[in-house]
Amino acid sequence: MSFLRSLLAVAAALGIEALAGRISPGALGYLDLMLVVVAYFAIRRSQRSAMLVGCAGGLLHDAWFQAGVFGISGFKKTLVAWVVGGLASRLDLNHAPGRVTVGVVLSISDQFLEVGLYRLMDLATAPLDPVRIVSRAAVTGVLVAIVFAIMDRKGSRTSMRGIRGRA
Amino acid sequence: MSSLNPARQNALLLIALLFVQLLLMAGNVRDAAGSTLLEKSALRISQPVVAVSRALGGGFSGVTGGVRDLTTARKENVHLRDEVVRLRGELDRYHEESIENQRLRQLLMMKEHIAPRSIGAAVVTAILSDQEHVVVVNRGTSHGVAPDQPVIAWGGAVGRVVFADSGHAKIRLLTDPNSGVAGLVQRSRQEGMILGRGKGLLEMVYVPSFADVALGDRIVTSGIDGVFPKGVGIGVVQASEAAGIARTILLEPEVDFSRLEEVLILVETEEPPQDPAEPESPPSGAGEEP
Repeated sequence: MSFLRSLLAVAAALGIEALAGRISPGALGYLDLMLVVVAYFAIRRSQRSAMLVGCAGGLLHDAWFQAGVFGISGFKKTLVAWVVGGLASRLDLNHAPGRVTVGVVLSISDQFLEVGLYRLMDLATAPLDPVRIVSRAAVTGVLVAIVFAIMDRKGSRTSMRGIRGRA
Repeated sequence: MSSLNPARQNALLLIALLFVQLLLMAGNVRDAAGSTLLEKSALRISQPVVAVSRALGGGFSGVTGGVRDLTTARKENVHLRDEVVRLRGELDRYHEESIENQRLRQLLMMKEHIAPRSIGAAVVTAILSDQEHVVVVNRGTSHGVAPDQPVIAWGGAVGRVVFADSGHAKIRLLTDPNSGVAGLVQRSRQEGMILGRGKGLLEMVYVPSFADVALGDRIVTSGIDGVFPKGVGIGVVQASEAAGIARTILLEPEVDFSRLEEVLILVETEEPPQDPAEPESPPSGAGEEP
């Protein structure tokens, strides 16, 4: 069941990214939904599930949106998932400020890692734009908070139904 | 493995995952076709998800496009009527010039320009981030698309095919930081290399500081890169300043990459090489009647 949920989450993120790319290709410069999924799994589930989801989601992102090196998104998302998953197992990040911080940190580290990996492979990179970095990090942070809020609400409804059913 | 604590198990898993992906990346850098099997598999597995998104996106674009079209149709109609009158005059003039050109070409025994065979393709999805400028289209190897084929749209050059599956192809746009195309200034015939900058503008490099380049000059493909045919529009000079022995030139692309919906993939760009000394009559040999 957990595996199916992970697959659904990755598929939903890919579907929304593809839709956003169809409607407004520039939007994907500010939006990385795979990171939101990674953040959710790192905080709510485990470091291992976050790494596996990051790896699968990154590879699927590469298959559709990467023209240069296949595997680069998978690599960076696995790595950031490991770091955030490790932090989440030691610190309590399951509250609104913690979730937003995780989203922001994930996004910033993902962007720097991307440029670093490109340079490591001797590929050309565009100069990093501070406005773009900050706005993308802010969007990711807010999205992480929204996704958690939705899932919390859904979870509380399910548990209420369970209590009523037992009563 | 069971004797290890969870943190060590995760560290081992991380190392294994990163190692596999490093191998993938290394294979990709060394040889463009190195990891296409996995890439193709990932693309095929996730195809239904993207197909649903595409259908939804098509509906959304249709509704918003319809409303926008209604509001702008009247204004455009008046503008287009004026444009038709003006273009009719120009067309007559160009027709005359074309006949004259044809006559002169025949006189100079030049080869007739053969229009390249092309395939129309619709954009499935696209990304325009800092480091990635990619468009995915709904035509692939089963339609005759192959890597390194040039792609154009209404207005000019778009990019080149970098990956082709049976039903999809990925196109690296001219604005991608790893994109490059040989071009020349249409007016002064000054050659250079046009590189993507990851933003909206393109950069023309390898142009000497004394080169004759002015603002508003049109840059077209020179054809020497062996990918694009000669004369396809790339962009218009927006800024040009001498810096040492070279000149920094920024171009505004002729194609609006954020609004691409359909493109043309040129599957044949060049005529087969022909020796100028060779006679026009077919060579004698196999298949010829005795």
